[in-house]
Amino acid sequence: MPEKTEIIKNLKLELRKGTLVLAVLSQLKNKHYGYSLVETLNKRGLKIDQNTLYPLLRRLDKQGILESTWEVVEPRPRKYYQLNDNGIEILEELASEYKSNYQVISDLLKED
Amino acid sequence: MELLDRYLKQIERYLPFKDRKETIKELRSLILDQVDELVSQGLDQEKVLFNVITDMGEPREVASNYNESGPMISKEMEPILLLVFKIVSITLPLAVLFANALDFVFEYPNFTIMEFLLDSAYNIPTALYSLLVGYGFIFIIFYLIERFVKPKFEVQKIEFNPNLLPKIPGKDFEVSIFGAIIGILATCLALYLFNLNPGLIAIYFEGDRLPLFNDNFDKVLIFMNIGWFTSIILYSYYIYKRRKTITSKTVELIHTIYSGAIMILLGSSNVFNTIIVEGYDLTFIPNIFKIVMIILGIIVIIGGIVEFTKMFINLEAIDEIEKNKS
Repeated sequence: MPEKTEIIKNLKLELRKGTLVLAVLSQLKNKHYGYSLVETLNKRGLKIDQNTLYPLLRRLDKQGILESTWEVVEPRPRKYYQLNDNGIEILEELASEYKSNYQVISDLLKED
Repeated sequence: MELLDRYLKQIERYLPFKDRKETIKELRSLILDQVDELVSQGLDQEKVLFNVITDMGEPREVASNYNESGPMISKEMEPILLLVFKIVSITLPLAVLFANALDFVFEYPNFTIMEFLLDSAYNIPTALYSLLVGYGFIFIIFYLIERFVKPKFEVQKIEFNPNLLPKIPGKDFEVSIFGAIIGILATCLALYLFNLNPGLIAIYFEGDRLPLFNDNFDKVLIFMNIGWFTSIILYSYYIYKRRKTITSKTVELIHTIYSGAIMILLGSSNVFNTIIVEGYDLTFIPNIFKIVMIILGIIVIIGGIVEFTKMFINLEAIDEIEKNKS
């Protein structure tokens, strides 16, 4: 039997998984490179592991939601990501989905 | 910054082939961004890099995040699979050779030692073939276990220490994985062609097939099998280790000289059928072959020696010596 803390940890992870993409997309209306995105999210209170974020950016880029460009800004080349038109539409769709879900779940939790 | 190269090299090993270079380039840039940020706060660069890498975690772990479908064999199962592979690699060929030896002894009770050794050498390809089939089956079984049983193991976590990352091999010690795979495939093809279907090496003329080699060739073939067997072991070792060592380079040298000697042997012995095709004088084919083989043999030997001595010119590149110094 897994311990209670273990169960909570896993469930929290699951809960977070879906919203993480939304959080990342929300910040990519502006152009960001990996590290600046980590910093921005951190400042806004969302702790995200680099090992999660960087591959996630890669995946979103491959799916055609983001536009990525290598830019040489001193002192080194960096890969910048930003939402493309497709991405902006998807973000809006996801955001409204999240809001309505949030409403429903909040109501459900209030009943108890 | 050498530590960063070593770290990225290990990550690269585990990344999916596609976009490998791109991922590494991006990771390098991202790690350096982070290092710069901390250095600007007045910390020591080397120490910062060490900490950033430690935080980021084990290379394989980092790489696995880029692999969407996940590995076919999980990290927990892999050591067991490798152990089984190792056991099978030693026992299976020995078992096959032993079984064949038993068979030979019972069939020809009045054998000489030489005949016995020749027969054993002749069975090397069979042993290799059974080994390949064995690997395939084991892998399939492990994959099925992984897929349907999904065993969970309590694995003791070993703290990741970047200082233990392998050094970047010097130029003379680099291994081309692609080259090694091609090498193994070509060797297997040669083993198959020369051992199981030697008749295919022939002159094809008006629907006739006139085999090029005579019975003498079989005697040389045994020595060729030993050479091929060694090169498959060597290539497999390189694919596993991803680097050469002084020992492996020495084995390589011996192997190259051996191969050169066999070529010269082939060129200087009478291994050809006299091929008679009416109306054509084909004696020039064996003659050309003989000359080419002898010249090639000499070139191979000289090349091998040059390749071997090259590593002593750039002593810095030799890991082992560096290790002893520190």
